[in-house]
Amino acid sequence: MLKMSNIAKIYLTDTVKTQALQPFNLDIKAGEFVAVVGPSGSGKTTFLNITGLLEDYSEGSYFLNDQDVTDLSDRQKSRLRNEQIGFIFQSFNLIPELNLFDNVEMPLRYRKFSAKERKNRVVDALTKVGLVNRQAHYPQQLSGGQQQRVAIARALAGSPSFLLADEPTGNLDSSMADGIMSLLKDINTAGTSILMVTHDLQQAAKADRIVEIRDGVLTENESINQVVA
Amino acid sequence: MKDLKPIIKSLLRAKTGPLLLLLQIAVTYTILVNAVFMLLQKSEEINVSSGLAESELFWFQMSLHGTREEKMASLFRDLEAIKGLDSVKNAVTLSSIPFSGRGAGHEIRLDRNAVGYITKAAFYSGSFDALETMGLKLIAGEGFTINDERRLFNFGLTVPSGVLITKALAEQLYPEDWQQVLGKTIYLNEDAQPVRGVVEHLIGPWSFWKHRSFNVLFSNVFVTSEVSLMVRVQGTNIEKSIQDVMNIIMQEPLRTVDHLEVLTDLREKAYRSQVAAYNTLKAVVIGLALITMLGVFGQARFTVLKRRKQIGTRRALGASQIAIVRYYVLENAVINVCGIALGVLLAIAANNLLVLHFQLEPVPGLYLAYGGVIIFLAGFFAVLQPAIRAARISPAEATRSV
Amino acid sequence: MLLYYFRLAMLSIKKTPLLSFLMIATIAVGIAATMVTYTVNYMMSQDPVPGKSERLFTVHLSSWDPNMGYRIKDGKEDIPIFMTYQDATNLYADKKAHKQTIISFHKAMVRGAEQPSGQATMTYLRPTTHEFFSMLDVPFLYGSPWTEYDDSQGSMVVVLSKKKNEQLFQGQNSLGQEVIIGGSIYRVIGVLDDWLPLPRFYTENSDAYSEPRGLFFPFQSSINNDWFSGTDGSVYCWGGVDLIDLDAVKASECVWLFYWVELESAELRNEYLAYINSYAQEQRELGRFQREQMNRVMNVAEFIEYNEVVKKDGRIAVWLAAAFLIACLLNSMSLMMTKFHGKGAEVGLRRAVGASKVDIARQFFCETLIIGLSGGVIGLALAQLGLHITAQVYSYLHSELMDMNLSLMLLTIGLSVLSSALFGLYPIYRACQIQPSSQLKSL
Repeated sequence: MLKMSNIAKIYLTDTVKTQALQPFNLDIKAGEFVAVVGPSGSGKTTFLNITGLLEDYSEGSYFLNDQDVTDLSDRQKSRLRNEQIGFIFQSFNLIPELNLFDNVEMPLRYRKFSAKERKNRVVDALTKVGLVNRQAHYPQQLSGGQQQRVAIARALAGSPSFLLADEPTGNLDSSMADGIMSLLKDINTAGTSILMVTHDLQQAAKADRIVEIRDGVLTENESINQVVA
Repeated sequence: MKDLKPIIKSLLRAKTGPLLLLLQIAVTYTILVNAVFMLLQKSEEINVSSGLAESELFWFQMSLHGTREEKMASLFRDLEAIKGLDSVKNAVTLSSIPFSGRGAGHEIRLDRNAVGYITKAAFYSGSFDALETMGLKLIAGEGFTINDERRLFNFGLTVPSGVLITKALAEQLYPEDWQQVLGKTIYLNEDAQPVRGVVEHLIGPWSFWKHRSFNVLFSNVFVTSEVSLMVRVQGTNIEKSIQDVMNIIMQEPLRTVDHLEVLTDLREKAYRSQVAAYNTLKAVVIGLALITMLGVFGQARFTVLKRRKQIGTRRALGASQIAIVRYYVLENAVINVCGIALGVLLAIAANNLLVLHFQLEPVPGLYLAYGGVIIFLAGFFAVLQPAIRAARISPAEATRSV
Repeated sequence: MLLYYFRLAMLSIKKTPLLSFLMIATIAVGIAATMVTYTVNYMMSQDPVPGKSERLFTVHLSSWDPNMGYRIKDGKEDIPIFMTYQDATNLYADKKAHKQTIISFHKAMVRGAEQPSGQATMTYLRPTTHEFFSMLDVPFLYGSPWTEYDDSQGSMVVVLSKKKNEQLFQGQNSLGQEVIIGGSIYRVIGVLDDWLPLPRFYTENSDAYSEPRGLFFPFQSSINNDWFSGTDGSVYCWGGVDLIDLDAVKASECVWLFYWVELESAELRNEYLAYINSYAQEQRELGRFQREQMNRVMNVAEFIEYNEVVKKDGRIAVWLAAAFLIACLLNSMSLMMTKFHGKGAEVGLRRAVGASKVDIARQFFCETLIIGLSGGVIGLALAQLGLHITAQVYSYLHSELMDMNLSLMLLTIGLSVLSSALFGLYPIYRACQIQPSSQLKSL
């Protein structure tokens, strides 16, 4: 589903050339739950941005559902993001002046859906995260865990082929975090691939596979134990 | 001043926001300088001295009837009767009336055959004692006596009996030494007249005329079927005086009277368009200062909002409240000064265009300074509130997560 | 989708009320100032006789003193804009144009025949010929102009303006009623409807923006009555005339009458000028017109320009106001930059979930349009207020000059929306450039 070969990222400024990511290969199959771990500043965010088509890479090739994304225009990439990828962020990133319904509906607005279709999808997604009865509320009226559920609903509403979660539990206490993780697990079981970046090794352990990034070098690990070691 | 360097650096980095404010200040300044200049010019125009004893004078037009001789006789009969009133100091007849918009004028030359004229001047022809009656001051040469007064049915300029001119006109004709004009011949259109005296000041009949300070007096009563009379009041009761005069002149059965006005009112009416323009310009200047203040205020306030954390950090690191206020005031001052500097260039360019297309006078350099001070002060007061707000930000902001 | 953007814009405006208020207020003030000055200037520079001004000409003759030019204008010799009695009546008798009229002036005490003589008021009058009304498209409420016959006889008939009819006859149909003008009895044969040519181009420039004189009667009747007043209009003379009565003036070279002609088409202008020149040549052979001949005809627009009817102060004011509007727009633009900058996180998020740059641009464009529109509507209200104040400050000018017509109102709104959109382009462009990845951590 997602196939990256020899991807590398180099930042060029006037004086310095920084190798943010060394060339790497990564293959994620449909239905997989992959965790990406590593310390701050290791290149995790760059990896996430490249995977999410938010940033260009310097070398290599990247196929998303058998489509080469290397030379796509901004418009085509926007469309791919909209249709194929669901984003989940550490700080939820809900728009405070929109209610839950409007927040979840937001990505659907950039696709040619009828109002009825949009409504069905929003209600579906909110049902999946258990907040359908609060769709007229505003983000600030919810707890952190609930806000993240809304964000997950927003990611699901467009039926993407995979979810890209950036520290989804980073801003939550552990009980809330567990709730979010089990929700993600359920979603994965229902068929959506997930790529999750996290600090938290305990949460990472719940994934099928773990990828580690350290000083710009990406390595695949068979189990959590290797990372800990 | 040690803040100056970081301020300039951060402004250079932020670029667009401050640049827009700077442009706005420059444009505002450009308008302001030109508007302030026009404002003060108008104010000068409105408050110009007339040379007349305005509050003691009133005038009117009255009709004369019958044959030529009857008209002439009735005019002088009435003049004599008016002069005899206790409430009247003197009365004269004049062909032009200051501020009235009605009068005659000539092209003035020193050489009859010159193609172009030196200037234009209005022409006051009438009773010999018009000078004293209007309250004018003779500063050189001699005035008219009763023997100089002629009484005709035309201007009578073909006889070179001599004219009095205003000092402003004399200076225009002889810029090096206006006294030289005495005894010289000047040409009113084609008619030669020697200058016998110079009057300190007299305003012309047309308030907006650029030659309004250039005037010529002549001692010839020009009788037409309607004549203008100017009356100097004795005492302070001008209403009674007007009533007395009307009682006399309305004894003539066919007599009609028009334009009965006190000179102070006439002046006010004559300048109402300038006063209106003056008030409009004043509104423009105030509006501009307000818009600048709004711009500075908005810009400063939102920079402060954007930099809450940064300000908190500064405070945590030991910057005093005064230091924060100083930072913002200084930052604003830098933008202001740059804006004004650019504005000076724009203002000069704009003024050149105005001079070129509308024949306005060029703005003297001093006004560039006036405008600069207004803008600078407006900016200063506008930035104070946001700067003080910034100073109130708690140092705890630094540690608060976003 | 558009509706969605408008809803977002409204939310965004509500979220930052002070900022939005400042933007809308500065635009509104700038628009109002521009439109107040523009309205006054526009109304002052209107075509006073639409559809005809190309075919109406005033005739100026080189009849002046062989010894001295009439005057110097812009460094060159100029000829009078008025005509002598003999030339005006000669040309009028020739009737060489499609229509022609002589326009004179007079003042006298006037009252209705029923009113006591004490109620007579000094009134400025307009002696002219019957063609005046059809040439200048003057509308009639009652009756009609006098006839050619009345002109030739000098009939004692008068046409009243609507306002004069209200003063003298309480606005009733006064046809057949009598008016006493300077002691003579005139019969009302027509009452005008509202008529306000702005600028009033057909005489001198001093009262171009006030009401036309309210009583019209045959020029010949004022001649028959020996009426001549030199004080309510201009009379310029040469050759030592005694300006004491009409007979003297009629025989003199004094100029004081306006002469206007209507041609069937603007193209006939040169043909008509040729006729004027041949008339001048005849006069020259009779000993008059001894100066170099520079006779001319001027159409309405040319005469308004020549006569400096539209004051330059007004045009300067429009330029000042336009510069002021630019200052206001720059102000609003920098506020917009601030505002969109504050929305960086939202832009990043929207971009991440699949909004293209164009989508973002559309969203902010809608917001800009709403701000521009609000600025326009408030600006329009402020402009009305401003015009009201202007009308009071300039109370001696006709208040019609300070009235916005529908197209000016639409222009106000349009200008506001358009200029806001234009000055919004750069902030919008900048907002679109926000990287989808850059802002996500800090919403």
